[in-house]
Amino acid sequence: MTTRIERVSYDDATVRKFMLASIIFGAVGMLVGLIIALEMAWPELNMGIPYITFSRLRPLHTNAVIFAFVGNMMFAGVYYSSQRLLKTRMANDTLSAIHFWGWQLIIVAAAITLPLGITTSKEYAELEWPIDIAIALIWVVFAINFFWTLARRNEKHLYVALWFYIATIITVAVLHIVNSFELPLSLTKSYSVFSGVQDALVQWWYGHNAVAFFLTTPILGIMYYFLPKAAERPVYSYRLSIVHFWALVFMYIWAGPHHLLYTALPDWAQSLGMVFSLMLWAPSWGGMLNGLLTLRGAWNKVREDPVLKFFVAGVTFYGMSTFEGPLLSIKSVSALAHYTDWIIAHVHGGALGWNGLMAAGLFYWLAPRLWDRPLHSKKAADAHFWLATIGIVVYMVSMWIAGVNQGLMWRDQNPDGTLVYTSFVETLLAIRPMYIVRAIGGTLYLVGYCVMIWNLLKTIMGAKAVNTTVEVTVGAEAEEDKGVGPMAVIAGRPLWFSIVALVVMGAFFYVDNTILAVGLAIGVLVVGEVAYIVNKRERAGGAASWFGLIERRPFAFTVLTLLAVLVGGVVEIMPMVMSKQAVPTTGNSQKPYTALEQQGRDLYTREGCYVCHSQMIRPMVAEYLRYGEASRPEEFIYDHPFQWGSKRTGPDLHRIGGKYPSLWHYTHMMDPRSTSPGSNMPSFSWLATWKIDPALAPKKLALMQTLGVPYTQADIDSAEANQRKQAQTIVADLAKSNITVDWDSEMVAMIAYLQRMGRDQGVVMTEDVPKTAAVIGGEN
Amino acid sequence: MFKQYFANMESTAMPLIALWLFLGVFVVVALRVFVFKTTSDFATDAQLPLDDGTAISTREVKS
Repeated sequence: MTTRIERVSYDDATVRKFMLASIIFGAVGMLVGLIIALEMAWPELNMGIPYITFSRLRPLHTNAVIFAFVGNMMFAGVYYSSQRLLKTRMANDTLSAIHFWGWQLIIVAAAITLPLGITTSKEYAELEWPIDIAIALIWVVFAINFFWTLARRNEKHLYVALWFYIATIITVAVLHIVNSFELPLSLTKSYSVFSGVQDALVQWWYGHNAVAFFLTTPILGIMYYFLPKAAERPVYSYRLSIVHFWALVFMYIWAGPHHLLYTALPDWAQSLGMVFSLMLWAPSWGGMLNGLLTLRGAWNKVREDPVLKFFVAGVTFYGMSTFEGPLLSIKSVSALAHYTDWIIAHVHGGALGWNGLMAAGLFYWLAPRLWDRPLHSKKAADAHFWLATIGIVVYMVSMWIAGVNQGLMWRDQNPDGTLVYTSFVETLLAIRPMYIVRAIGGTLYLVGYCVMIWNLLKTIMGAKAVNTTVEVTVGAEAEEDKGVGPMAVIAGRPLWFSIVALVVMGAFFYVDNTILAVGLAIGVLVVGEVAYIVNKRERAGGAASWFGLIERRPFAFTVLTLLAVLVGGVVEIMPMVMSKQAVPTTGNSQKPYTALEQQGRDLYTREGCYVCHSQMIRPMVAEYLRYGEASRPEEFIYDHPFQWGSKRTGPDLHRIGGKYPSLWHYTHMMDPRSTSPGSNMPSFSWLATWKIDPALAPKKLALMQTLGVPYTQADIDSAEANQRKQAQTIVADLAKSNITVDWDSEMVAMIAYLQRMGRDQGVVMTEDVPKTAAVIGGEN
Repeated sequence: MFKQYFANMESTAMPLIALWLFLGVFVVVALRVFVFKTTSDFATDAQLPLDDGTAISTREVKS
């Protein structure tokens, strides 16, 4: 085998830019997080300004942390490690530059549009369609640059970190494209093509796997590269990393429905999501153990090296989060924890612990190398470590307590079967101290982060940025690869044995003959044994393993990864989307929203009401007593997009329609604490003065008609007139209590939507609801 | 026959079967990785992050 020496100059400038962007946006994202944490405890802090209200800032916080902080950090890690693992420079500097600046422009666009209320309301996918298209294009640029680099590589073997990057790139593309299927109304407004249950399933298939393939797999790739580097020893078990990778990418995609337990989602899909979530525990902990065991014999370094310190703590938090995730996916646990702050504790264990600490470790590793100067202060890094760790613990413990406490209070019943805590606000007041403690924990974490920024600034200020040039030994194609073409991959025995085994297993479950079934079972075992013996003999003779062939062929590897990822999504989503029976469409009792209600619904999504209010009453006694009849799938068939929510900082609103008079809603939105003393809802007083665009009503109905909502042409033609007529009914009702609002004010449209919710018999007229002002001031 | 057998099965039995299947595979994988491990197969691959080549320079970037 011949070899040659090649000089390679790495593109470290792009790594530096991504790293600095991550540090800056991380500070912004965490600061916004702290602001909204304070607003949870002191709702007046929004000062009546719509753009800094909790429900608009919360999507900004999540997007900033996920896509700006972790996204840029991930790209820095991917660009740095991929070049070194492939022993080549990134394929194209222009593509790298487009990727970097394009991604930052997307972040800026998000920072502008989300506070303005320009949102799709789909969690972690709130950005509107023009930005969605930009994300897709920039992601394709990244993919082309990455796979082009793979094609030009000087190292045949694809190290495990690169597999995780491949899985990230292809899966995020699939998730983003499918979940962004929407029909535009204007440049700043679109509607999901999916509705109700289907929309919820697609959204949480995306939402869960955004966590999996944006916040987890690329960071695992970074762990597999940087942890051995920092520990100066190879990963504990490469074989375990293979199992870890394939099991994780296959199983993760199935677990999305655990976000929808006890909802109107069909039970089979819920159970499937739960079972796969439980199974996920094994590969997740396999990866965690592989990371921690890499430090066998090197634990003394952890004491001295800030990089290892952060990596070890990060991986440990990964283990904790991936234990807690399956636990929360068990239906009986979810019944208590869902919609509570326990979930907030869980996600911040992952975000602050796993992502945040891994990012810090990465920055402490990169800065001295990219600027060729030692870290300014190890003591400051230690201080950062302890501030961050204590901050996370304070944050998580307070949210665990708040979550379990509130969950128990919601379901607490007297011996006579009535609720102990009839007012939702009672349960909120009980956990308010925990909201303050949470803000303290977040502050500690942010202070630690600022210490890191200071430390890194002191390290790089005055230092010269450097690009590394190395000489690498490039091997000619390995002997074992000679004459081995793509057919060897397709004809590989493990692949065919797997296919045969799956077919035989399928047949086993469907045959009607005992002897045949036993024969099939024995057949699988015999084929397995034969395959094992043949493979062992061939390997003893020096033949390459089938997996060895795969991991040296990026195309084959990518195709197999895509197949592993797609199976779960196809099995879960396709029946729901394709089957007419999946969701009953009892059109006789279900009427589309009126023009005014649709306008109000759009305001509901703009203001982010779904951030704090669910629209999904679960089939539980306590929920029936508090909110009314459990939600049914057919009630959401015209909901583009669905508004089920994932957290109850306020009560469920699915059956709020008709519960209170319009006066109550007006007063509540102007001053929430006047109707619900102790509530932490911010005032939405601007709704009383801001105006809807009446001319949009027919356009909205026509677009909904395109999406399958059964509006007639007459409905569309008379939309403006009907809208005004319905609004004037509400205006007249409010006028009886000396409240004056314009018929085209946003407040009236919002009240129309709220009064309609959960009343699937059609439009709720104000005569149907109690008008006594005595209701005002009652509990909600 | 098997179709009928599964159709009449208590629904609680299905997750138990799945769990036992899962645990079986888990134990086999764990034994293979931790007990019957062979280090030679992937030793070269595992060393890849540690092979940085020979550093020629850390070239200063023009500001």
